[in-house]
This record gives sequence, C-alpha cells and structure tokens, in this order.
Amino acid sequence: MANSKRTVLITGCSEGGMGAALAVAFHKAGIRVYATARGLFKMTGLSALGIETLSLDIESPASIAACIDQLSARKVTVDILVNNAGASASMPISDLNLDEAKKLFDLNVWSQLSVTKAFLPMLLQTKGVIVNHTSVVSTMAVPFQSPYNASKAAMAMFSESMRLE
Amino acid sequence: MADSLICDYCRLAPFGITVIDLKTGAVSTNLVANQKANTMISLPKDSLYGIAREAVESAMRNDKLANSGMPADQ
Repeated sequence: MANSKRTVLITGCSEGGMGAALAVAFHKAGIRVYATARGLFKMTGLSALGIETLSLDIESPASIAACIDQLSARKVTVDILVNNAGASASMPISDLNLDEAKKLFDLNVWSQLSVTKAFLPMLLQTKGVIVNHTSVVSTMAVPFQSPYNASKAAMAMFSESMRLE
Repeated sequence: MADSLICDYCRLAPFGITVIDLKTGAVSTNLVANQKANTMISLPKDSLYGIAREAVESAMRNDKLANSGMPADQ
C-alpha cells in the first residue's frame, strides 16, 4: 500500500464537539483523518485545516454504504474507527416517552453497531482499532437522564463483549 | 470531572482488532445544546416531580454542567 500513514475515521464531527476535537488531535499527531458528520457544512473549519471530510449519517444504512464506497474509491482503508456520534435525553423514568427513549437507543446503540459492522471488513484487514465513545454515566447513574445513561452502559457492554469475540 | 476520562483497552480477541471504550466525563460540547433543540426537556404537567419542577428541570437541562465541563480540545 502506498500510504504508510494510519487512517482514522470519526463519526459525529460537527464543530464544537469532541468528534471535531479528536479529528484535530489525530490530524496534529500525523494520522490521516476522515471526519464525518451528517452535513459537510458542519465541518468547514476541519476542511480548512486540511482534514478530509465525508458526509455520514450513522442512522442511515444507505449513507454508511455510500461513505464506505467513497473510501474504497479512494483506496482508503480505515485503521481506527471512532464511534463518537450520539445524543442525549433527559426525563424522569416515570415521565419517559418510550418511543423517544427507543429513538435514542437507535442512535446511541444500534447505529453504532451498524457502523462497526459495516467497517469490520476494513478493520479486519488492517487489524485496526474500534473506539466506542461512551461516558462515565455508563457506570455511574446520573438521575433524570436514564435513557442516555442506559444507552452508554449498553455500548460499554457491547464494547466489552466485542473484545471477547 | 475534568480528569474523569477512562479508557478501557480491549481486543476483539481472535482477530487482532483492539476495542477501546472511551468513557468521557464533563466536556463542553454540542451535546447539551443539541438536546435542548431536539428533545423535550421539561416535565409534563402531571409529573410526579412537579413539586420540585425547577430543580429537576435544571438538572435535566444540565444547567450546572453546561458551562463547567473541560474544553473539548483538551
């Protein structure tokens, strides 16, 4: 392969968030970065730094496939996948709208696994790294935001299970 | 909370893939603002917590955390 540089792909890189901050940190560390977010316009500052940006909506299988196609077309294989995109929600459990809570799980849990599975062939090839961005609340309950806590705990356990498989 | 960042290093055992669970703490990001924009963040009228509405809604909005997290670029 022409590039000896390691390549990282990060989800959820809208500016102001940790995805964008990670993109800049990896970029500064000399790693080739593919920053992704639903809209490219949310990452103009990253492109200005010379970071590659791609559109990726982790809730859309079509968008995930299109993103991988774009990488393949450029003969890029990803060494490090950072599952960073996510959201939060707050409500006492007694007032919880379960449809809303399920939507949060769709984003914070099932979409993360969907992205990981899609990138697995590349990661197997590169013997790569999967980074799942969870939270301290995956182990420490903060009241009134149980859907978020539970989604992060679920991802922490998926991460633990993944390493054993 | 600023230094409450824990990395769990693991390995997708037989296939040589490393799995990292990045557990971050309070960081100033878009998370809270996005949540305010996209989700219902006040208690319903008949909530069991109505009597403590202000305190609970303040916690739901992460008022005390929103501006006290470490910057994302640290």
